[in-house]
Amino acid sequence: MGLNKKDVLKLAGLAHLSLTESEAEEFAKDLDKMVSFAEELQGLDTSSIDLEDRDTNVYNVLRKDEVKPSMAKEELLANAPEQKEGCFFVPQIVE
Amino acid sequence: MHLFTKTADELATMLRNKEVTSVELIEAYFERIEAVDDKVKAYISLDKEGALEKAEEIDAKLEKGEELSRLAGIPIGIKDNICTKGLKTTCASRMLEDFIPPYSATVVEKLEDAGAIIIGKLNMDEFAMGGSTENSYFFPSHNPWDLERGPGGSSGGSAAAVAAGESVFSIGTDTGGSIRQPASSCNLVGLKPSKGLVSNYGVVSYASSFDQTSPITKDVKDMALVLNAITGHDPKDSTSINMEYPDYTKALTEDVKGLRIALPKEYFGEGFNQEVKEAVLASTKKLEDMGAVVEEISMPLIKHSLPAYYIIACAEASSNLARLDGVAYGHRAKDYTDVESLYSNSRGEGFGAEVKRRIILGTFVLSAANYDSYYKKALETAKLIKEEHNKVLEDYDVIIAPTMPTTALKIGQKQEDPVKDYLNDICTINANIAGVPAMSLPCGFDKDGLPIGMQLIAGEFKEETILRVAYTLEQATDFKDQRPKL
Amino acid sequence: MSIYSNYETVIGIEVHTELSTNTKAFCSCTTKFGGEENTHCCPVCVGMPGAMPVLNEKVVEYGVRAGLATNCSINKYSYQDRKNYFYPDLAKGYQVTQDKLPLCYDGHIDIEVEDKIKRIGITRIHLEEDTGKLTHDQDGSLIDYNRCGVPLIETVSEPDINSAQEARAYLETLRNIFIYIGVSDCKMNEGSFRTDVNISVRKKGDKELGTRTEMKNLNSFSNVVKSIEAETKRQIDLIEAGGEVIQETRRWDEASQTTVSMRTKGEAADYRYFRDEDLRPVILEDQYIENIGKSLPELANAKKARYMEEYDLNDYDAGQLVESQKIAKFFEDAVETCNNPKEVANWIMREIFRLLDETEKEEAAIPFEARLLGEMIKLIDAGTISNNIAKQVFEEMWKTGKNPEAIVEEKGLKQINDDDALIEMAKEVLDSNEQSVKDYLGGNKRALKALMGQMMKKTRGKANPQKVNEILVNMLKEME
Repeated sequence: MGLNKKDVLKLAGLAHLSLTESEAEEFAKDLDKMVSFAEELQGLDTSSIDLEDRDTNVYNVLRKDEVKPSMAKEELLANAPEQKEGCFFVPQIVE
Repeated sequence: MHLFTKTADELATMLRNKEVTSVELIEAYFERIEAVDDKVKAYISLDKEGALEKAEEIDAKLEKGEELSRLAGIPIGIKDNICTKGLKTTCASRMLEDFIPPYSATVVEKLEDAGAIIIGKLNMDEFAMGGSTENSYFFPSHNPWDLERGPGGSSGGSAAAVAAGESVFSIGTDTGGSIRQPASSCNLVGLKPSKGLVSNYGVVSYASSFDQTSPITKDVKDMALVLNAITGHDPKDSTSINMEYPDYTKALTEDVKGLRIALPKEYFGEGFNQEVKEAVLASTKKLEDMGAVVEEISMPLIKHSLPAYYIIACAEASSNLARLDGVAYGHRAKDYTDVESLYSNSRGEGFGAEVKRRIILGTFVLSAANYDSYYKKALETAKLIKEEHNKVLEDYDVIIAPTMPTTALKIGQKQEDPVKDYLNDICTINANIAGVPAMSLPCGFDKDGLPIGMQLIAGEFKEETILRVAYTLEQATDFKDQRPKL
Repeated sequence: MSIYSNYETVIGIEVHTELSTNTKAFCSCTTKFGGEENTHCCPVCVGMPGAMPVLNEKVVEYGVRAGLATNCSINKYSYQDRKNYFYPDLAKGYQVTQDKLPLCYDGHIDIEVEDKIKRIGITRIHLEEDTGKLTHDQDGSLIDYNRCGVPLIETVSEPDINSAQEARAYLETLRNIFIYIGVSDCKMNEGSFRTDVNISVRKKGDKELGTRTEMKNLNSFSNVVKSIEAETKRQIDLIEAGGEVIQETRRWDEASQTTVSMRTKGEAADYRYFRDEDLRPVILEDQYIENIGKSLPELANAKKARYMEEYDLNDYDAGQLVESQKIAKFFEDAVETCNNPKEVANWIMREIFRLLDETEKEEAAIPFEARLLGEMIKLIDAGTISNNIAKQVFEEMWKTGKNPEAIVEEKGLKQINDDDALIEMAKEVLDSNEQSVKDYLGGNKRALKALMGQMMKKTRGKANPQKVNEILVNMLKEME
């Protein structure tokens, strides 16, 4: 089919996911399966469906604009892989 | 009989009759865990100290004669994708192997408020992606009914623990069958509630549209007790339903006169094991004998549910897992040169193959070029499926179906038969797509002594109907009393 | 005729405005500016596993306010989408925004450039959330998530803007509107009003748009003007030299006073927008929207026109008074007390503006109530104090905030209006200033000034100057 390892690697770039060679090859087959899924769905008539119709039983879920205490800084940073001066720390962003 | 074979309700009575204390219960369960968990491997982490502390508090309250929930003092395990404050929550992934959440999921808080005692975190497929618990980063779990077989997935540890007597009941999640299928594999009751009935706050997201926090219990009475404790509107979860919640124990009556049952032929055709079909139909016959009316129907959209489910689930997963990037928490790779490689390497190392697969596929279907013909089309199909279910469930009280086309598979054995593999998914995913409640209830054993499960599916917020039918059936059989020889 | 005048500049502007709600868009953490790093955060805004968002009701309200104040239509059914990309200041790996169904659309504001009114279309205003803040050091970047999750509205203009001056007018007007309706403090130096400019050029008469470049995060109006002018020139020079404008993001470089290319992303980012299923749609009733419309204050443009009409103020004065909504309110309150708009306007523009710096002007950090200025002007109008004395009273009011009557009492500053008393004192002055009297009677009318001066000195400025003038002139006449 049309999709191959190169397509997988492009997607991996978007998803910021490093893959092994064999994973990239394997996932190409999965992409093909996805294509056939889409083809199967194309055969269905969904013209009666309007995804934006307002038929929903849960809407206007809103919260009052009242401040509640935030989490303590130490708790927030407790799982940080690297921190510096009270901030989360990451290496250079190539600009 | 041993304490580890009892239901929550039975133990609650024993606690109040002073036949046992909560501390003794905890000790007994930890003893059991020590005896069998190196074979079953249900638990990822345990917290004996914390559990005993809580048990002492509960015993003190019981001494004073305080009125407590039926779940007070009961030891339980929680699936490891549900946040427990101060207790490692790993999602069975390297990405979160050391993550200690600074907060608890609402469902955990509710159970703790009821006095239930969390003794540990249960194994699962990584990030709930899988059907056998073999995708766990740590180890696969084993089915107490046959240790060479898996307990199902993704809530495999949740089921195995309850079946093995290592947890009185447990809480898992069900996105496409992940509580029902393990329940079926382990002779337990597993309920995926209606969308929005149980809070998802603090439950690590896989596919937001489909994830449901779900209990797994030894019998229907326990299920009703647990539902009472964990359901309710949660202002922290925008999808939580704000309505009057009933007392689910009131639904435990034996009455199915006039019950209208639908049997979609799509769930009873080629590919289903004969014994499975027979067991499900036998239970259906029992209901008929007790006054229910059974009709065969067709739900043609069921056949197209897998593409819709898979496209939506992968799409949502690809976005939900983007926050796992090694920046603020989670696994960070040792080798990287800049932020880009920090992301790629941390995520590449942190996630297993199945997770990566679904992220790649999800990224694919959401890409600008593909959005309309993949994701949008899948959403439309899902809505059609939901409409079909709503229509059927207006004319019928329950849909009955097998939970799986087979019984538990051997560990390491992939489902070779593509039809069975496909049926395995479509049996359960439709209830997630439609947002309706679905329960897996034990309905027999195959010739190898492996449990068979049947599904009861009802309309939105009709959990009480399911409980009533399940209770009726349960009382007419002795499946719930069976325990594995472990 | 320079080559530049053969070209037309086409500009579209996107403004990100932080809403001045108490809490963030999706959690109850405070939105207060500043504060120690990472102390205004919780699992939701830091994107911890399992955390879920809940929309702030004020955010919807402020969004509708902003839409109505800019003549937009309001989408009665709207929802949030996810914009997926990776960046360290984006905690969840996606930003919650609105892609398909913005809350507001199809609006416009009128701007004034060189005495001409021009209408600038507003394509849409939608709700979204802000990111955290990055600080860079030599080893990497430090992330502070305090700002992450603060609610924003993004206002997108139609490409109706054709010059740097128009851009500036558009921004000033938009900013003024948002401050007036109370949805944001729009402090550019605190990042609550951020501008991105899309700019392209084309030969006049061309129907097709040229390739556009984007300039992000221009942090002052003067930088907006400078960068637009520089970029316009750069694009035209490039085209004239036979080159092609590349679609890219550029930034304003203060040092070189030019626009500089930022890393070209190669391909346009694919944000994979899709609906956020953790949130529910917002369905607004007509009544809700109407109520908000009714609660909107009079905006600057309308106010200015009204001041000119009702109070007979000129264009410049009216314009000065409406620039700050708080000053306008001060003006109106003072006028209500004394009914002398021209005097109130003068005192505000002459004295009050002099004493306030730019920021204080916006806050109307005036240390006394408007009503007191009104009372003071009433005293002038009643002749109780003269204009000169009023200056003293005003200074005392500014220092102490006391009301003017009290000040006049305490300091004995009442104007002397009693004719008999004045005549008595005038006699004394004339008696002790023979030379000046002689000069005046000798034809030097200017000598009256000296005599007036003496009278004012004698009365310590309290004599009613008109009366003094009259009395002196009459008495001197009799002496002729």
